[in-house]
Amino acid sequence: MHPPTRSIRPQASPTPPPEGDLLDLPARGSSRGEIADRILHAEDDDLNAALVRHRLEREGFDVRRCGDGESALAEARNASYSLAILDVRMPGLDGFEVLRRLRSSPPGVSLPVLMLTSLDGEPDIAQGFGLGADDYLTKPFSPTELVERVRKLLDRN
Amino acid sequence: MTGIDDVPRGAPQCRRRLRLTHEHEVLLGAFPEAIALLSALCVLVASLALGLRIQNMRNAARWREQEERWQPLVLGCLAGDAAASEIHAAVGPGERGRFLLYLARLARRVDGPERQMLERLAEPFLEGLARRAGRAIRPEARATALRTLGALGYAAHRDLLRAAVSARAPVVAATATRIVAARGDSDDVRELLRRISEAKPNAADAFPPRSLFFGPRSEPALREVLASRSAVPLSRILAASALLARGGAEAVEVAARVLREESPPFELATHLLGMLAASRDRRHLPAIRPWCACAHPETACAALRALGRLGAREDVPLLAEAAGQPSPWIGLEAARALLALGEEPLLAEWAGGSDARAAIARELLGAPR
Repeated sequence: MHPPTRSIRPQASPTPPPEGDLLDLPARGSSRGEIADRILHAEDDDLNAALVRHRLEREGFDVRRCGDGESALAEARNASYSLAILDVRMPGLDGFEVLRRLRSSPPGVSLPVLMLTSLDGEPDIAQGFGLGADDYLTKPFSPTELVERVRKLLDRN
Repeated sequence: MTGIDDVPRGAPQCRRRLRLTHEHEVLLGAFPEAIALLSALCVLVASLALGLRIQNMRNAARWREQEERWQPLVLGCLAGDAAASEIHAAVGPGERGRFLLYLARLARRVDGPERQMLERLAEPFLEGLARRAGRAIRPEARATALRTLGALGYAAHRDLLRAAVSARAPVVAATATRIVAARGDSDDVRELLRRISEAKPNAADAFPPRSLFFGPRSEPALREVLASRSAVPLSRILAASALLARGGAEAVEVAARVLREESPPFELATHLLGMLAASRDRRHLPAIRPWCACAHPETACAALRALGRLGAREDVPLLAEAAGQPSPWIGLEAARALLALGEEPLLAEWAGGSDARAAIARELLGAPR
């Protein structure tokens, strides 16, 4: 069992939430008066995005996906997120560059960032942490481990 | 039109011209038929292309529909919300191959308990796939089946995959090699390096690090092969290449030790020097310097390149001496290393002279940097 976190996470909903502006969506877990953590996921691969989204939404998180680096950076700067999960190899800006720009100026300076990437070499991992990533998970990944890491990061922050 | 019978006598030039005109008439007469034939061919080819395109689109739509049907069930199963039997019931007998391909795509993305769950989901359908991997007539079909087996049933079909590394069909052998290398089990990695070394004299060039990806689990076995004096030199080179691609710091320590304590063949030494240069760790300079005087120019160049990356002022005399070597390759590499160490004034001084180093210095100083 995981320790309680700052959001109440209900059991999986049988139907996925409608697509659209998440600001207008009823927050998950709001039935108990708490707001679900919103997570930004930058990922260009549909199947990876579905894996992450399904598991995190099952755990009660609100997930918004961006398919490229530019839109992820804009989204992270313009909207309020509890955490960002960044892939590295994406069209346009790569995940490291998104992270570097986030850390260079508010409001992204303090946003917890978890890198989720297939780059598993030591220099890549060192680069990720060097740029200010809070955690680094390599693909292929276990969705269960991802949820644990996300919870730890959210608890810490 | 003027006909051949209307040509006046005694005018041969005119007759010849008119005869040509007659031949043109014959050609012109056939022209509409040729156009009609070509048009018919164009319509046929376009219809064929359109038909294939429609078939492809229908297949893609059918596969999309199937995956959309399976995806919530499979992802629910990975999260513990659905039973494997529910999913098996949702897969028709004619859909099994496609279902396995879908599971394989997912399996390449997940690890841990979810990966094991995917393997359990695939298990009832793998026997048929294993038969296909061994017996299909088309090598491409065997390779595809092996790829799916590697993703979903490696442990149960390990012998089949290992044997396929030595398959006659290149596409099958290359596919099996990639699967075994990416999996990275120690025994398999050792065996794979041995087989590649025995099968291909130029394996180091045939399997550069970019094309043969060794998984993270392979590092201990790769380090062991690299450090083993009894291993075939080519195996050690392959291990060094793979470790260089993975950028493992421990592997760099092994490489430095081999260079200090052994006299490895020059191909292996060249690879190891490349590893030390890529590490950017100056502690390894003592292991690099002696190789600058290696009799084999390729190895000496690798050592000079490494000195250019990691060296210091104390290496300038050594590099200056190497720049005067009779071999232009060694001279050029030494001069490049000096330039990398900020010794531009020294090169400018040489450029004004008339010895062998002058030409190299002039070329380097004149080249865009």
